[in-house]
Amino acid sequence: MCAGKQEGLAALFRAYYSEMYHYALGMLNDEASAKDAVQQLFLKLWEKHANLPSEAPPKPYLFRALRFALVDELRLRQRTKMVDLSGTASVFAWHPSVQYEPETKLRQAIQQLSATQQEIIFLRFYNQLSYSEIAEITSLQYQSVRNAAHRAIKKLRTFLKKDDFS
Amino acid sequence: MRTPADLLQEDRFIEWVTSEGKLHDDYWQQWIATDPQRVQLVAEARELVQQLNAVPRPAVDAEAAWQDLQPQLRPIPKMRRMHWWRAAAAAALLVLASWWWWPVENTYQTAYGELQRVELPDGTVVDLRANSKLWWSGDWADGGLREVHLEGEAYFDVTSADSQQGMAFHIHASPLEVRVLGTEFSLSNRKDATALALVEGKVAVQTENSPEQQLVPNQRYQWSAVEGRAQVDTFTNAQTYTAWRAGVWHFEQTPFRDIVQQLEDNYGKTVIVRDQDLLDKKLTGAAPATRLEGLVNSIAASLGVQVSLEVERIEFR
Repeated sequence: MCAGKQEGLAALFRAYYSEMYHYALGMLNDEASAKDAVQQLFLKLWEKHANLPSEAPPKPYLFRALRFALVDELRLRQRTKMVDLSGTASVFAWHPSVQYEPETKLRQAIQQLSATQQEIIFLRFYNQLSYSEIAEITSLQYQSVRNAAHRAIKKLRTFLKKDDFS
Repeated sequence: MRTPADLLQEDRFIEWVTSEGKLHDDYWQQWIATDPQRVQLVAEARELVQQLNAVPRPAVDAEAAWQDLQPQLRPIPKMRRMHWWRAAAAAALLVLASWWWWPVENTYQTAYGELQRVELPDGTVVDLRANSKLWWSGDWADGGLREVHLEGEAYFDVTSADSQQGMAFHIHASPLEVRVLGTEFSLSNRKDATALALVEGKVAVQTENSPEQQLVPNQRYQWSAVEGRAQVDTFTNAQTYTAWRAGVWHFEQTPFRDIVQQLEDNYGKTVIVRDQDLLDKKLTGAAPATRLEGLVNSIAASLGVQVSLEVERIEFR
């Protein structure tokens, strides 16, 4: 019986680990902490599995739980002065610590966006979560999420076009 | 003039591109066909979605991460002696857990302003209203129960239990639990208000704090989260609850306040009403809802006020 449940957890882990890891990396900007954050979350789920919500698709739930854990981690770092959270709602960045080959124009454009915009674009296009799910995950209003996405896309297009002529 | 950014804030546009036209294709084909300028616009927006979807990420070894984690999973403590009730609880827990562990296979979700017809494996037909979600998981035959979940609003035409080896049909529309006995009805489960209007047949409805109640046709069950209680009344014209399926909004002595709520629920826009007294005005009649502009104009006309429709809001003044 236990083995069967562990297989269930393993399936869930294999299905979402990569996406969750990249999201955590964007928030924490450090590969070891990102890996640790996702593993800790699954460990917690395992220990409290009797209380898991059975009525909803797992993906938005996992991301919401992960984001709470990441924000806690960031608060902890703030107390030890490793990060300054004041004035910004998000510190998300598309993993600047990772070297990409080749560096694309689009990625450079994405780095011009605000942290919140990067986070929303990441959740929408990399994780394929809907704007209403993103609102739930980030505790933002649905309409604010869409507005932020709109501004982000506009900015991306301007940047990409400018580049064409240079 | 629309821009690609406008399209990229629509989930159903992104889903259409990402699914390579498997989702929402009728809608977008029709949308493009109405204006030749849209061809170029959609092409640009589509390319942008594809580029964003394809931003590379470094490969990750999920298997290694799992192998790290697995030894840390402590075994679940064994139960000492299995009393019958414990066995039942354990079985229930197992069902609950295994259900959750696997991604839900069947989810249908409508965008703002979209209607969708869904046919369930048992032949039951569900018309899903805008901004609504219907999902179910697993194989019903295993549990001997047809079980679905609803958020938002839908019209159900449920095949009888007799035709399905006696399998009952349950709807979870938290906080409402609906037990269906082969029948047609409209169920709305939005924010603080949940309501079921029974058109034909028989259903039993229950919430956590109120006892099960059976309804007969033309009865409406309403649960208010604010007041924390349920109320049953009768309605004369079923159209109010069914006409939206054919793209018509039907009102029968409907307070404008309720219509405002419906607009917000179905189109995701903020509705502003300058004159608060208007909210208590009651409207009777039908308005075509295939285009939002036509819908708000006819509502405004019957109220005798002006309306302006913007990207994010509707203002009656």
